[in-house]
Amino acid sequence: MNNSVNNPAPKARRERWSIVVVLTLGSILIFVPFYWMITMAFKTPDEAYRWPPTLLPETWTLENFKGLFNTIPFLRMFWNSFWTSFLIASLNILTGAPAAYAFARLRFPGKSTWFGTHLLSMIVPWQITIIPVFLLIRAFGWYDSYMALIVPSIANGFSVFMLYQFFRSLPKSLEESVLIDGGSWFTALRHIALPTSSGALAAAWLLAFLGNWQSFLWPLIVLQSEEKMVLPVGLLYLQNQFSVNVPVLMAGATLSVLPTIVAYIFLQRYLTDAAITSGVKG
Amino acid sequence: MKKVFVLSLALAGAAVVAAAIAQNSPVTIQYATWDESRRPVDEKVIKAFEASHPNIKVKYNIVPWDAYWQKAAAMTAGGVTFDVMWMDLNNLPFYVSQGALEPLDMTAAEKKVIPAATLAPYQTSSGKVYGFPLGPQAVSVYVNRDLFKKRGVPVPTKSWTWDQMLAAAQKLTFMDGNKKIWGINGQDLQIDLEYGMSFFYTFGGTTIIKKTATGYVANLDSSFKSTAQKLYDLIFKYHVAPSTKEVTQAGYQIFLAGQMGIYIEGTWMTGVLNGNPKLNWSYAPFPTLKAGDKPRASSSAHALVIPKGAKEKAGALEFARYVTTAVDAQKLISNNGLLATNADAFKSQYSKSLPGRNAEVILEQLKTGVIINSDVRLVSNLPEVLGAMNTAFNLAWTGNGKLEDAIKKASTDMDVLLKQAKVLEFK
Amino acid sequence: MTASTATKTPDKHRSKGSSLRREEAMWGLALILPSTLGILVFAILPILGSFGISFTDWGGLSLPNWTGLENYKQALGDSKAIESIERTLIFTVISVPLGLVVAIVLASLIQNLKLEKVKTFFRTLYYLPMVTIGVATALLFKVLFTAQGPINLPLNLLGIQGPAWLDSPDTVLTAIAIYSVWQGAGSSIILFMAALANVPKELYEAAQIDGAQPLRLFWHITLPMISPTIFLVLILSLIGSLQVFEAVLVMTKGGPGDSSMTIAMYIYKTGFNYFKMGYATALAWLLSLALVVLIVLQWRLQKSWVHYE
Repeated sequence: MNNSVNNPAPKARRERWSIVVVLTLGSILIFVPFYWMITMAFKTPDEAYRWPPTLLPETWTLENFKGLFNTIPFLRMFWNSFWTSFLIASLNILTGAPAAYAFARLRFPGKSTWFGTHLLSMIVPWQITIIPVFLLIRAFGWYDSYMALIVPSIANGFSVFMLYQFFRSLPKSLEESVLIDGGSWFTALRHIALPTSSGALAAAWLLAFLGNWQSFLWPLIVLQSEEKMVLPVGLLYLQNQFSVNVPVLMAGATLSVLPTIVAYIFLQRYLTDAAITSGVKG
Repeated sequence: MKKVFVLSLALAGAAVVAAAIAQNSPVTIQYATWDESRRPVDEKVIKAFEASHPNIKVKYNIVPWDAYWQKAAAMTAGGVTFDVMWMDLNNLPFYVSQGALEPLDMTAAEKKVIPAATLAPYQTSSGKVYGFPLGPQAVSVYVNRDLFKKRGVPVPTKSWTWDQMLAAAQKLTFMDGNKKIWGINGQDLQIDLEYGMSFFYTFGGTTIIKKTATGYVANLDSSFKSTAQKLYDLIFKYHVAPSTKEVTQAGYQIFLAGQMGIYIEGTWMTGVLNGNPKLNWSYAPFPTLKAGDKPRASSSAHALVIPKGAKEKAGALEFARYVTTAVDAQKLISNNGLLATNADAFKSQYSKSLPGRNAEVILEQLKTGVIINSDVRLVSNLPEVLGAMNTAFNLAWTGNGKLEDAIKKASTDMDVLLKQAKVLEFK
Repeated sequence: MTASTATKTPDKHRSKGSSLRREEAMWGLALILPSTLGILVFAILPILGSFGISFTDWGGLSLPNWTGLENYKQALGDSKAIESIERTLIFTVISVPLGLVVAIVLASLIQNLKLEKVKTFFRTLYYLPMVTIGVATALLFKVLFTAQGPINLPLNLLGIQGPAWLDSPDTVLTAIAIYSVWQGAGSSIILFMAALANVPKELYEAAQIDGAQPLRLFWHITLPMISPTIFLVLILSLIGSLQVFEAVLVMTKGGPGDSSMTIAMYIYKTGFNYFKMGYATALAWLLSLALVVLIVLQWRLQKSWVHYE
């Protein structure tokens, strides 16, 4: 072994510090926009447009948040976004995990065809499907209802693919012992495969949740009533024809961004590198 | 057995009562607009309507302009629509030609109340009416009287010319301590927008799209060019109006903050401007090319329409009728600083509601006003043609291209689209 | 199959085997049923439907007429569509390499850190933009990119008047690319970190003994070893940037003029602002075709530079 590996020379230590400095500078670039957003949300309109800008609000005001709540039913929209995303992500896992398991482990007729349809649904750009799906929604009479938001999203090709990759990497021996003992495939899935993959399931759930939490084009098209509307569309509504009230906009952005950041910091241990990468690595 | 009988009787009775309640319970109509600035007045009108029509409730939906048309189309295609909604003239013929709107039952008395020029664009050749026109929304000139006084510029009250306005704007552009004060809002005066178009009509322009024997062509003629140049020069030659590189705020924010002398915008901004009690604003006449000319400022003629897919058509019709023709509603609108459908009949209320703001000049200006693009509304792809025009001029007005190039590009792009255009059936 | 062979083989054993097979097949089909049903109705059926729509003049409100290849012919001569494709390619050329370099550099720096906690800290931080609502951050960047926004603050201190990033055709695509990289670098960083962790340490140690400099190590060992991940991220970001839409819609709507009108935005505008659904769908199919061609091309090219173990 080379000596320098065990006793880092001053040069190596300097290198390590310079790495930290560069990474910190990078973090500042990530952080500054959020800082700007939050401080802007507490500034008076007069101060918000001042040049050069102030680092902290001279007078902290809650007026922008009042303005936000007066313009859109923010809490209602936040709740709508939350529960629909929660439900859709859960349904994705509920339908996706069994399918992924079957694709990874079982032999049945037409397997590659059915798996192919899932892959296809992942790859095709939304511009192709959005209009026909809209026509389906109309045919079902679901326009301006949560059904329009939820039902087309129940099956999620990406979740299936991600979990498929994960199940494939599990050792088969445990499930085989269940089958030999006369258990069914369902028992194997329920008692062996699912419990051992809680991490991957959580990650798939989180990614599905985030996907829905951010989606705005589909709700914009199929929802109409203000009281059913979801948050990303509501934020878009803050930009008016004549009046773009930047501090109010920033108040809305702050309140929609902060909770997810806090939740992410608590939940990030589930979103491990391995879990995320398993979804995209072939 | 007896128990069962009594129970079923009670249930039946309850059902009858419930049905009776359902019969009497008010219907709710969905009303949609894009105009946030009218909200306080609209809410008052709705309250008054609900008071006089206890069996109808109105749900007020504000959808911002950018989302409004996309929403309207999706809804119409989706089969669930608002019951009564705002419609503008650029889009109306398209909706009518697609059979998406309900022809409205308008009485002779109502037709008499609504000014003929306002009603005409909503009436088909066969006499069907597709919209109850709202009050005119005129492009108007607002001035900050404190700034005029400070710079020693007389406040115009009856008439003034373009040159006088330019001279005023030049004087009004100055540094007030460390605050920059601007003469006028040049960004909003992009030639193809209704504000710019008001100058085009006033300075002798006729139409931007000409009908020929074979179809339509763009008509960006010399009068168009010279007007465009005048407006463009406010920003890039005289520097009396801010460019996008110089300010972040919209024109109304600068005027509202007391940092702009002349501000050209629709009459609908009145409520917003009154929101700043320190702002000493008044209406000024629309400038003409020569003294003695009559201004031909544009006024938009929006209307309330009822989509085919509306569920509560009867209630919607009742509401549209009330807002545009009922005396109570007209008075209420006029009393709150907006123009009623029959603006002239309620002019004293209107003037009184804006004391000392020189509101009379707006009523005067309306007499010679123009309804923008009403002559070309039957071009099937008008929104797209106007969109292409807007895109071309946007490049010039943001300081990213020469005006001549923009005019050339606008003409070419418009002609390409106009070649595909059909004349809509409006029967 | 003949009766004689059936009698010869031990009957019991065989039927048990095939019934197990049948059971497995039954379970398999049952387990995929809900998901597959959803995919068939809301993805495959619409894909087929849109193919049909692309041959009509459907306008959204009225009934469609069959127009054959008319839409496709029109698309090939549509200068606005062609310009928007060119713009999309320019955007891709700016954003994909920028994103790739930023992610590789940051990922290898993080990977070089010793403390696990510090690693997690930076990884979490760089991933933050991914968990926020895109509309919110795009609106935020719209404010940041104004002439008087904080992005121009450093320039201003140097006495340079920064541009109004989103109001100038020269800078608007760069600005949107910067936002896209800011927003999306996190997930690429995570992919690269995973790849870097799998590079065998012995390779470095051997090279270090030979006295190789860090940059040489990076160039000759790290890059070839993580090339499959580079390829993966390249494909993913190509697909993403060729379809860039949300940022454009929120930040510029394609302006100023047409200078940020990407192909995805153009398709959206054609379909949902001007109601030319048939034509918009045809354009969407052409876009997909281009995507497929590009991916296949990359797949062919990868053999020359991607190093598989």
